[in-house]
Amino acid sequence: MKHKPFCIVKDLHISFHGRTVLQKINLTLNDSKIIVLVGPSGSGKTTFLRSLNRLNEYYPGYSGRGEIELDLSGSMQSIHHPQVNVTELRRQVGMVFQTPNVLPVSIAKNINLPLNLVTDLDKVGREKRLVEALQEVHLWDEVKDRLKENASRLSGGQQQRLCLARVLALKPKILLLDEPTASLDFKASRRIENLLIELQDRYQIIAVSHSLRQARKIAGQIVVMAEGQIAHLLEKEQFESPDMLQKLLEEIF
Amino acid sequence: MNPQNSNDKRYPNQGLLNRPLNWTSKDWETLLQSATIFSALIVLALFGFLVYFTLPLFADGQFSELFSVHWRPFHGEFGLLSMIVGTLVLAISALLIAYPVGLGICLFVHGLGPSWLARPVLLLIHGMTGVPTVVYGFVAVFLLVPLLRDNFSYGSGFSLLAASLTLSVLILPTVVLLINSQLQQVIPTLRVTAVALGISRVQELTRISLPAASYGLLAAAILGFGRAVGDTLIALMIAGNAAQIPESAFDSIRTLTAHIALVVATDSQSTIYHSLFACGLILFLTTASVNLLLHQIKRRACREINDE
Amino acid sequence: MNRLLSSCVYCWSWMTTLGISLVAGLLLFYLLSQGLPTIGRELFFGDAPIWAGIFGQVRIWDALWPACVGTLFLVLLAALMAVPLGIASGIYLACFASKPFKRILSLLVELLAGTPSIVMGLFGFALILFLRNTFLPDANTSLFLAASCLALLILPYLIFTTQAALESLSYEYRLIGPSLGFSQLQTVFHILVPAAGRSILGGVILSVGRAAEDTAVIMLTGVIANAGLPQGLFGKFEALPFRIFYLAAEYQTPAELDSAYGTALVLLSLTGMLYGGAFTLHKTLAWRWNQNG
Repeated sequence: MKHKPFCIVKDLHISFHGRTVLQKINLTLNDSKIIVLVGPSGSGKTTFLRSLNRLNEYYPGYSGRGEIELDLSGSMQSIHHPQVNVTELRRQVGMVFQTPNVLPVSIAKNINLPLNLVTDLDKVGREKRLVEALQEVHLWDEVKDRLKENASRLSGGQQQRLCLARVLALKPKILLLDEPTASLDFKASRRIENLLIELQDRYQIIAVSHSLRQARKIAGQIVVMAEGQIAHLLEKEQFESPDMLQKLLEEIF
Repeated sequence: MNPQNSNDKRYPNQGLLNRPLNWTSKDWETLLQSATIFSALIVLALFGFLVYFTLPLFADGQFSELFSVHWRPFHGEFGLLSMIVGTLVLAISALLIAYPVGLGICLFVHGLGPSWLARPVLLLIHGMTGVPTVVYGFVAVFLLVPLLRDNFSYGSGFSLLAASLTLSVLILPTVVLLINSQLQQVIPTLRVTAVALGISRVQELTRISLPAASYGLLAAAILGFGRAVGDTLIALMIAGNAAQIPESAFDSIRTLTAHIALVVATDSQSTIYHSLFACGLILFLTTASVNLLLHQIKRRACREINDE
Repeated sequence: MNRLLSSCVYCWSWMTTLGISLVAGLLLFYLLSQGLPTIGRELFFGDAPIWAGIFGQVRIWDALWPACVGTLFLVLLAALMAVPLGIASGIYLACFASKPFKRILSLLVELLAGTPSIVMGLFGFALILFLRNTFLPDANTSLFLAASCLALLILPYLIFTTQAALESLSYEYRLIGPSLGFSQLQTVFHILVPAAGRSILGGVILSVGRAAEDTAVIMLTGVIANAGLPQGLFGKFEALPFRIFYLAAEYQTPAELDSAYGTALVLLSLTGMLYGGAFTLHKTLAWRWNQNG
């Protein structure tokens, strides 16, 4: 497997209303299987995730400095460059949130609206993408007969997969997942986890997780965060040994 | 109103660099911005007009005469003092009635009454905000005024007392809903603690929850006052409209608002008009200071919440 | 002693609530008992035949119809002017304005909201005086002027309700758009405004109710007692609230008084319906709409 960096973070500081959330983050992430961020609550995992698609700027009191470079079109490019088109960045770095946030419109429209607004596909192309995306998250068979139904009637797990499909339909390069299973029951979580493992070869996935069990299951690399800083960077071999895991558990919880 | 256009669409594999500026999107934002600036400038235009029309009074040196007691337009006397006093007395007395009543209703809703009645009572208060002012005035003319006239056999019944009672009903929802919204915020956290400490409901409300809702208490008083000062119809219909300084609650009074309505309806001399604009200016400055005060209090309250 | 005080507070809360319920009940009962018997053809059209009356072929005297039409035109015109401006401003303040800019603009709008309605009327009146003195010696108060002043009156409510409706959407919801690569404009018009649509509509209905009930503004800007049906944008007109005010002060005969009761009941039902409609659309009622008489 070739290991080429796709994300370089240099001296990142982020604060909200003057309260520091992230500090002195220096990190290089290589192409790999799923990267999972773990750490106690308040350690800045979500904020870090949101800094990668510059979504933090939407929160009140945001201020930040430092540099992030992502590889989206074959070469590393700073995402803070004044000429960067932020909305294009966010399309290429897709994000799924903790609680499923489907729009209160039909299932089809949930996927079609973004396709219509941010791509220039024609109707046929959009149809095709819709089907592909829903198949990719294994939702197609469940909803193909009721695409016109309101999406908020789906179960929690289905809604979350629909959100994932909505992002995948836009063909992102990088996929950010913010505790995607936190609000789901055990069975639905399992499904999403298996789905992510399936998707890991097609998209570079970075996920925040609240559970070590989940992290061990899906991760190719674990980033441990504590108090707004990167505490450890663990490769697969390291967190698979029980000793290391024990040490980690003690450290985090 | 579809803001999207073909420039907004992007090719999936295009790099991060911007395409040429998206003018339509920018244009829309500018349009919204101009609408907002226009809306905001109206109040300045209003203020400007009032000042412009009041200025001649300054030039004529008649300004100090405005603050005399005598309104005798046919003798060239345009004193507004009676109206200023009338406005203040009416607004304050209406607030003095509405405030304790409103407080009582809030306490009822927040635990002193049965909980199943809380919603209907709030619904009633909400409903009262929907009653047209002129309807309150109308009913007061035919129910309250005769009642006062017959029971106190003093004058016509069109009096400060009748007007302040009616006006208090009008401003009551403002008082209740403001205090209520604050109590709703503080009570959920405080009540559990209070119950755990064995404090009675009345004690909890008066000693803990109300003090914690002090912003709402203050804002309700200020806003209630502002609303009372700004009202025209109740004063015009019920207060009797005699331009005099009242000596008792049964005296007839005239407010600044009613004064404007009466004079415009009856007269057309230019000096009178100038004094009208002085009335308008006084009213505007009063309610503007009320709102500025409220704005400051709100900001302080917000800052305290943020600091915690 | 403490116990006594507690009992007093307790009693007071019950007395006031009971008292205000009685007052409200009495008001409603009184208007219904006096007004209901008067509701009928004669209240609306007097002696005129209905269809001829509706279309203005016959002049209607001493009846409600011209006032109904006057109020309808007044409210529609005012809404036509204020609604687009108010909603646009609300959207801008909630979604686009930078912080310091937003503070200044909101403060100015708050000041406008606090301005007594009679001062709005005076503003309109001053405008006419100004026009007469300058380039339009024939300028006079009219339906159009009254509607413009009413538009100023309801504009702040529209702005507040629109802004509040948008700002009450959760952060998670507001992030959907940006996270999918929408521009701010697309987020606003395709995600946020549709989601807040019901509340915004509720605000529109509330402000229409506010425009329908206001008397002080139109008193200075062109309403008169016996104008008949409005004869155009620049003519005088009648309106429901003014008719109530006028009849309460000037009624000559018991029949006129009856007509006043009927008018009051009609206006109360009208605002009641508008308010009820807004309430079902928007559960957290914006009490602000009625802040200033």
